[in-house]
Amino acid sequence: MLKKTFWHWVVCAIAAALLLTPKAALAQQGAAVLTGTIVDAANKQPVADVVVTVTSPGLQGEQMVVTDSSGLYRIPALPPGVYTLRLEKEQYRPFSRDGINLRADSTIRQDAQLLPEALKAEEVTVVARPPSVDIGSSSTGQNISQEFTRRIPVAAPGGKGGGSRSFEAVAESTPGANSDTYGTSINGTTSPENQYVLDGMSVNNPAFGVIGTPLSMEFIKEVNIISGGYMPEYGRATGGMLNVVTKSGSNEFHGGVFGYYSPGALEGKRSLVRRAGQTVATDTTLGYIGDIGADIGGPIVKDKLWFYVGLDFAKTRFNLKRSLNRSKVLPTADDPRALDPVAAANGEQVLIPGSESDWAAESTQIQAMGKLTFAINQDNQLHLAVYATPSQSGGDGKYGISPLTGQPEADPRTTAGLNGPYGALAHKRLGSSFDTSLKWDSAFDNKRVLINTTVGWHHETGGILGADGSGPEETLNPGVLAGQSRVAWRRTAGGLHEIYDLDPTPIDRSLCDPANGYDCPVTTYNTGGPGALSRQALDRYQGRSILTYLLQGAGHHVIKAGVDVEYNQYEVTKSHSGTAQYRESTAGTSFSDYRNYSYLSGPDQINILPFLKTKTKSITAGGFLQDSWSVMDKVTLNVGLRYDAQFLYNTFGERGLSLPNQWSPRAGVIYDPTQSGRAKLFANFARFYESVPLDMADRALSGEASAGTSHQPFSPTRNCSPIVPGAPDAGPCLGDANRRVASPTPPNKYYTLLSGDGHPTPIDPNIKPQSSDEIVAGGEYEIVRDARVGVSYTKRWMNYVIEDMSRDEAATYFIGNPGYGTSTDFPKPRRDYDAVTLYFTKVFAEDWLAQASYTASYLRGNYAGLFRPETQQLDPNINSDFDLRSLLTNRDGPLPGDRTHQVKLYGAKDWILTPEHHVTTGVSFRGKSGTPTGYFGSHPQYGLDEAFILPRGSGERNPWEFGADLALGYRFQIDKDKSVQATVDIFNLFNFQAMNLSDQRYTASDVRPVVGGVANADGTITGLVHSDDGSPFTPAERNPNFGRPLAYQAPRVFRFGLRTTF
Amino acid sequence: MDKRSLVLYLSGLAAAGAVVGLAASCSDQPRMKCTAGHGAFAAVYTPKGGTDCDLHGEEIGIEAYNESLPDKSTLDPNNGSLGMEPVALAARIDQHPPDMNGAHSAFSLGKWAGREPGGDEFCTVSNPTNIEQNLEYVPPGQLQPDGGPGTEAVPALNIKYEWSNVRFYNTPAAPGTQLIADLILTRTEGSLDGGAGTPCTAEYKVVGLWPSISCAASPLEDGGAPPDPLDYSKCSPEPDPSKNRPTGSGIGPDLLTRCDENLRLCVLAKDPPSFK
Repeated sequence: MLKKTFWHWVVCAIAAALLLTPKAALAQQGAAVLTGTIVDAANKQPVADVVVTVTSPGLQGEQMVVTDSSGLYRIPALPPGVYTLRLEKEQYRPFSRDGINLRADSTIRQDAQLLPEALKAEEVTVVARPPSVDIGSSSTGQNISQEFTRRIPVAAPGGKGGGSRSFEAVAESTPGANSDTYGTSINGTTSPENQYVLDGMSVNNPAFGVIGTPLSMEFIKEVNIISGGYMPEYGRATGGMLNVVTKSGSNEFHGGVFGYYSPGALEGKRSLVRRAGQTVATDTTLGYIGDIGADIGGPIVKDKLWFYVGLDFAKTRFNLKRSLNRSKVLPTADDPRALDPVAAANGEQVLIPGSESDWAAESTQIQAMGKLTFAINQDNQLHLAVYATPSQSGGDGKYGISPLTGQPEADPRTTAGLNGPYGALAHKRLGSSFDTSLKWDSAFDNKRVLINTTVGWHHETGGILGADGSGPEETLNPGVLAGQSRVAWRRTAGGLHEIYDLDPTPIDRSLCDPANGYDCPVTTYNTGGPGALSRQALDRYQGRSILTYLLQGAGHHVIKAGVDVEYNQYEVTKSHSGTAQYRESTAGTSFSDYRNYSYLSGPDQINILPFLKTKTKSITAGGFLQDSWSVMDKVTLNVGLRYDAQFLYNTFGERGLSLPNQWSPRAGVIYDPTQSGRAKLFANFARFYESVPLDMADRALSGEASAGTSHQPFSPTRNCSPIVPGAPDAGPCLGDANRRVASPTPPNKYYTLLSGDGHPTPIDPNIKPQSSDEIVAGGEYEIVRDARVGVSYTKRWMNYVIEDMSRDEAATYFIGNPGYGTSTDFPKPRRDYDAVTLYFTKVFAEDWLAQASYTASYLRGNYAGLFRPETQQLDPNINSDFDLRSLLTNRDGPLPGDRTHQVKLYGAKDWILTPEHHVTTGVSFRGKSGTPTGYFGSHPQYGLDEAFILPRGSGERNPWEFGADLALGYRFQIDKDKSVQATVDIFNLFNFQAMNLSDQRYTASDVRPVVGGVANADGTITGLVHSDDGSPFTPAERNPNFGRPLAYQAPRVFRFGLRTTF
Repeated sequence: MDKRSLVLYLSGLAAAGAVVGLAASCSDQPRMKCTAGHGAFAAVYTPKGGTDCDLHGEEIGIEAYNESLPDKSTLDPNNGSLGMEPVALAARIDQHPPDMNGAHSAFSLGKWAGREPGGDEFCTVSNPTNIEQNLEYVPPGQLQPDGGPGTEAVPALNIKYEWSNVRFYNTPAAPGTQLIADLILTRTEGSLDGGAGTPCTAEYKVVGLWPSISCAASPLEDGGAPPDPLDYSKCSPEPDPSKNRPTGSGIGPDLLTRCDENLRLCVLAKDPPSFK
């Protein structure tokens, strides 16, 4: 474009020889860097001492540096946003450039040529456009800003974090990311392996690694999801980094009021899950999800002190319709109650009239944050922030909603629905976080040296209480639910219980008489109290300081060094309601202590603990050194090394596990063929170490003592008989005379230890910390302004894994590295991930944005990660994966997170009808191929679904899942900053109802895996035998619901929104 | 920030780095606590000269116990004791009226001498108490009303186990599965007609393996002779589905074991530590 009026201005050909400058790694986590070189337009020589100033609506005040002798300037520590750059120097025409889009964690290069005053140029050519390729890093991932989340329908209501639209819920839009049970899985890892960073502070749950502070996107300026290739300044994660930058106040007052509501009445029709032989059905539908909030930021003292505050109140309700349904029988000679296999395969069941009842699960969440920013002077800034996310669900006649999964307590993945009375199944659940951080950003020597120091405190409380609010400490109070034992009914011998044996719902029993063609069996049923209870307090105190130093020598260097120390603490009170859970024997003739906390202090001297209270700790200290070196200003080399050491302490205050020597080398190379910041080719190698969550220190390093005994049934009329429902009375039923130990172990007559001696689990002296390696490589090219296309390849694999193991079939356990050290008779852990991603990204500019990606990936091995997706077990580093050698058969194959194809398309456009009237549109389309399934049987010691009958992934893959979402909005723009907007988001527009979870339980019988076996065409498995005696498996033992749906995709749901901004 | 502050900061960074470096110096793993397998050990009694009182060994029931912490909140893993009671004796006691002598005990109990194994990886039980039982003669029962046989007579038994040097080998790979001890056994077994019997005293070296696994090819019925053939493969820690063993024996896979023809149990092949 030619502009004669500017002729005395500048010949400003921006763009320019790229890679001449230090590409920088960021000064502080989440911040962006603007860099470039300034040359004289006449002689192309670098210009020193140019005053470089940047301003932005999101920046408090302005930032100023001067160029060095090589003409280089570098402004670090910039919050993400759109910037204006000004260049001034005597004898040169001033230069200004706006519209520079800085994303969190990116380094953007803006070179410029200054026109000498003396030079009389005839015309000015402005070919400049700000480059958008991050030329400083080889990391992969995605930046998600509010421009994206406000226009694209993300964080669907009903998912985890959907109610308050938490930041991790939007992370799924990243290429290579997928939602899993506990969050978002990145590059084939599991969600607890991610590092969640809020304004430079780790907010992972210290005990389980999942997200601890699910802050709403409303208060977030930008989320940077780094899926791989990150520099040593990031560590303690084998998954991805979710780096959040929250909003801050600036010199203008800005804020808004917003509300969202998703009515259940408009929900699309759900496919019902009906399962033969499961009389109790629970159909979940959305009641409503809504939130209302406000935020405001602005100056307290202009150019000096700013504030930002935000508040959001969210409420979620699911309706749970419980019903009893009878199943069709086809009597055989052996079994008059045998289920009709054809009806079972069709999911055919008949509702029992009058058996329906309506329940609800409800949760309430409040989110609040406040931030003060204080500019001490041009080079020193202080940030003080607090964040709080208290939540509560269940109780008072309502069921709870798990904060870990976002699902109501009838979640089909972990339960058999509402198979018991309210008091036995419902819980009041607490889950709150409180964070506070103080950050000091300091710069001097013309921002050549930067120091960023953060101290923070992450605090969480949580609890699983009885529905009446009674806590884990009240197990001895029979007047509350916590004081009542839970009994699990599960008879199989002699036929399953009939529903009317156990359930008080009045029904016509003849409807369940096999003589009439139908039966109403129950496989599992619970009575009594709420079972496992807990109350937790978790803390993380952390401090880190990073020094950045800019240096010239054979190119430009950005050298960073840092230290990073954190102390974690996990205090938990655990109990079982009524001090013990009891379980009916499969023979239905006795019941046993199933779960309790107890120990023996002498022969039969039992000490039953009303609750077990533990306090475990860990200290992690580390540091890193890295250099981002642009070699001869052509190629950038990022090299560095990170060191971490973690020490875990048990509840007795003793060191329980030492994990020193976590040396993480990282090396990357970036080349810009355009030499102008518009393209890059990159490759990176990185080693990542896991930060071990404290659950292991609590459960394994501190020991969990438990003793148990079986109880002979009394006569059928006595209350403690397992044949008659009702909590066992603590009197004669539990007396010594009624105890029976299957094989007494002298000197004990009555008790046997259920979990060994309750000592800390021994540690293999040669144990190594858990780590994985990664190679990423790819290229990126800016095709039009603000739009990039790219391709990347990612390869990840595991090195050592920390797990508990038993080499003698559950007789003794120790913790080590499977396949190494003491455990060479265990298979080496394998989790191989290979993925190629093609992507296109256009950030929001000129009224539209778009993002498209296709990922082809391959995930194989025997180790999924820090939780077990098949059983949802979340015990990082002490899951059952490698527990017994007899569990290990057939474990290698496609892992549950394996998605061969994934397509993600997002687009948004604002239609400006008049300056006041805007229409906004956003669409999202996702398609992903289904996950692998398996054939699971029961293991004699570990129980249901722990035996892999056939090699992992032998089952039919789940079908493709598609999702199409639409967002429509109308905005009335009152003036530049004030607007009112109404939106409607429609999730799953076409109400696709693909099965996304199938029943993989081939049988509930104890069977031996068939090594390398395959299923026959009729679904039978040749060579399948029982564990105990090798007798042949009979077809009647096959689960009639095998391969049938357990859950479908979430149905269509509308979310209405109203927002005013100023 | 001025230069002086920077120098201070850099010193601080270096100091912090040094602390991190020092942290690596406590890189060794914690030692395990003294413990023992819970349940029956297969113990071989080797006489130290003289008689063996016709006892080659037996199954000994063993359990590791823990005292409570002072606040009773849970067990104290550093304050434990060990209990021992021969399995056959426990069964025999059930056939007699209880020994009413308050000074007598059916089991031995002793505290661990230390909380962790010593340098040789052994944990010692300090001053294990004696087992002593005087079990009265039980005459035969009356004939059943239908003329069937009554209960059989049970001979009197006076028995005393004096344990010393009770030691368990303890490493994470083989935690408390191997026992070695000294035993003085004094036994007076009466006769079926109520005779008092003759006392016999023997001194043994005891070597035990946990868990106790039978290596009889098929279970002996009524303890009768002729002995069934032995099958050492039943001691194998490896599964063998073809022999109906879907899992291993449960014996630590590193242990060197043999099948004892007298006890018909898998036992350690040599004194602990008995490794391959």
